[in-house]
Amino acid sequence: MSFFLFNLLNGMQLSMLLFLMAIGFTITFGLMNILNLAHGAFYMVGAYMGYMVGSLTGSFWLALLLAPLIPMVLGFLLQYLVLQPLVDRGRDIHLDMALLTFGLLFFVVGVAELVSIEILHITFASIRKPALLAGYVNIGLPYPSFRLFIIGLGIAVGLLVWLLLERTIIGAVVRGGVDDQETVRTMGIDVHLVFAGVFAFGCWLAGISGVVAGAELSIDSSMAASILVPTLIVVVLGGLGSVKGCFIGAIVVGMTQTLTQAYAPAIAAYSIYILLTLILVVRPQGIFGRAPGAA
Amino acid sequence: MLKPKSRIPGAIAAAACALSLMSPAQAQDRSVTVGLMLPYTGVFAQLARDLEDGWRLALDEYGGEVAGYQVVLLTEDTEGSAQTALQKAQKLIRSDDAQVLAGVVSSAAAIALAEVAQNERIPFVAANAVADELTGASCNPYVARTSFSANALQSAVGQYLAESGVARVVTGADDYSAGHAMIEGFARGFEGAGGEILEQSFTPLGQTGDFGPLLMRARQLGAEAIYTFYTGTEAVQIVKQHAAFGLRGDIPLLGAVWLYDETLWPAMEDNMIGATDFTVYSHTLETPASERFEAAFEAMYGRLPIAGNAMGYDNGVAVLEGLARAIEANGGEIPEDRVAVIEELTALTLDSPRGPLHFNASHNAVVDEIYVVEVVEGENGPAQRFLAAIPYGQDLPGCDME
Repeated sequence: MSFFLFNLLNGMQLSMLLFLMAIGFTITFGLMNILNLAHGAFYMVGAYMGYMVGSLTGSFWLALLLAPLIPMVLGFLLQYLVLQPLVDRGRDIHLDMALLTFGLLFFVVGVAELVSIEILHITFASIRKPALLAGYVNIGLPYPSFRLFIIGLGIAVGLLVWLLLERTIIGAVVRGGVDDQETVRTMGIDVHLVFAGVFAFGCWLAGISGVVAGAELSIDSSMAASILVPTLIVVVLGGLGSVKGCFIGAIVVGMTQTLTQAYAPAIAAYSIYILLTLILVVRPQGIFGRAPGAA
Repeated sequence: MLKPKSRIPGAIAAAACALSLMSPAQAQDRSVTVGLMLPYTGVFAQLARDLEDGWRLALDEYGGEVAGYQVVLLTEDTEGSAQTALQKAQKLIRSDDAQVLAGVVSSAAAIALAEVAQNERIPFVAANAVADELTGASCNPYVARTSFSANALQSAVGQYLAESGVARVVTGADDYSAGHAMIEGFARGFEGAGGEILEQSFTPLGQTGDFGPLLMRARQLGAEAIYTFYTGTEAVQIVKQHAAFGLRGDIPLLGAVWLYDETLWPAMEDNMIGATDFTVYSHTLETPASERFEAAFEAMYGRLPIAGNAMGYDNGVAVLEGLARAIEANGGEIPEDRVAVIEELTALTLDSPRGPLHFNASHNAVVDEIYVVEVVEGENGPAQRFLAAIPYGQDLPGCDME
């Protein structure tokens, strides 16, 4: 296998990892206009929960299945009990949401540090990969099976989310609720519950990406803040609220990072920021975002 | 401008002693405060606790007092940032009457505090910050370091690797000042002893860690080993990825001190087993000083000491002994100008668990040797196995002590 093909695979793997991290954020921001900067906190909680389930049961699959439920529930409660009432009271401008959720992010990081050191007695942790995926496949060069799994999972999640939003009644309700709350309410649908459900879905996705990252990368209290910038870049570059945009944006960012690191290491550190600037100058709404001024 | 201010606490203390109708037997009422500044929050939180544990063992061995003064140890959280460290230092100096500042892990914080130490005329004894500049360009009479400098450590490892027959390596580190300093230090030792660095790879700092390209380049170029400087999260990631790419048997992944640090082992699963590690202290050392330290630490804490504990212990012993001698040399009182503490401290030869330790003209600790260990599967989980002791390296020049 040529070195170039290897880098392509690597780039795809990083892209799918970024996509998994960013899709939850794009759903809440793009669909509901809630700037949830605490997204990283749900990601980290998913990772820590994955670690606990993984160590208790010895099964990665159980961790992947059960752990994201915690951030999902927490997200539902946050949206229904805290964020929605703020929106109803008119405090829904981005800055308010940003400050609140940003503060929440650091609060959760502090709690995680405390719990992990005082109760779990670990600073760094990993989730054990399943035996099936722990080795490597020989495709010319040894390539880690888990990375192939990430690629597959990213594509699968992308399809799932797209299907849900574009092809189901629930998706229609959500999109309707965002565009015209009053009409949806008159149809007897509790819009607040729907929104809380969508937010919970975004946090569930964050939790899943946390478990995957916990196995492929590592877990510690700094992980919550560290995905904020890459996630924002993916979302802004791809266009807010668009699942397709998030997917393409993630591929652009992942590929750029990997290929510059392999072929032009001198510019690797800031290549993605240059790219972001260029794209925003040409197309400020991102690749798949709605053009400014559109309905 | 600052001198009158520093006289006031001394004057008040003296007056209080005179006014309090204490009998000579109760000299314990005199106390000296040491400010121990460590990153209790952030990714180095565990290291902060390890350093403090070592420090408290030292304090316990001194019976909590030096030269008739009771030692008050105040711990403050630097949060790993220079800004917070400066704030806490000001608090310790102004509100808590700290006589000595100690600790600090972050090099940025240490260099910032070095300047404060000189301006406020308060001794600062760094426990773990490794930047060469601390005892180089930023050196001054009020600063000392009990750990080691990046160049001394890395050049020692580099020289050993070349001399042990490793001819061609690829290096990896993050693209920032510390990463470059570490690899340059390694290159001095490695290339100086005849080794060849095929390629120096620098990964972007703070981006989602993919070490695939670096690992594949090593394979492509036919390197015998990959020498790295990565800490914490990234160390865990590169070790896991190195194994995932099937390189464990083929091209060893190496790094000094931080790569295979004990606190990372739980996160590495079993991928560090069989790896060669370079460390400044291992409890497997069989010297009298190390055995004594191991026994005392185990008696106090119920577990075996790790490198962080030894560093904290050395810092504590250096500060306490320096204080004790400075007070005694000043007729039983804390000296006016506490630069005397640094002067006494740096004249010491300590019987450290790391080996005999003295200080050079830049106030940096110099040990005879560092240690090569192998990480093995022991009875109670992963453990270190002592392989060899190798000579310690040299600090970089650049200190101009006024």
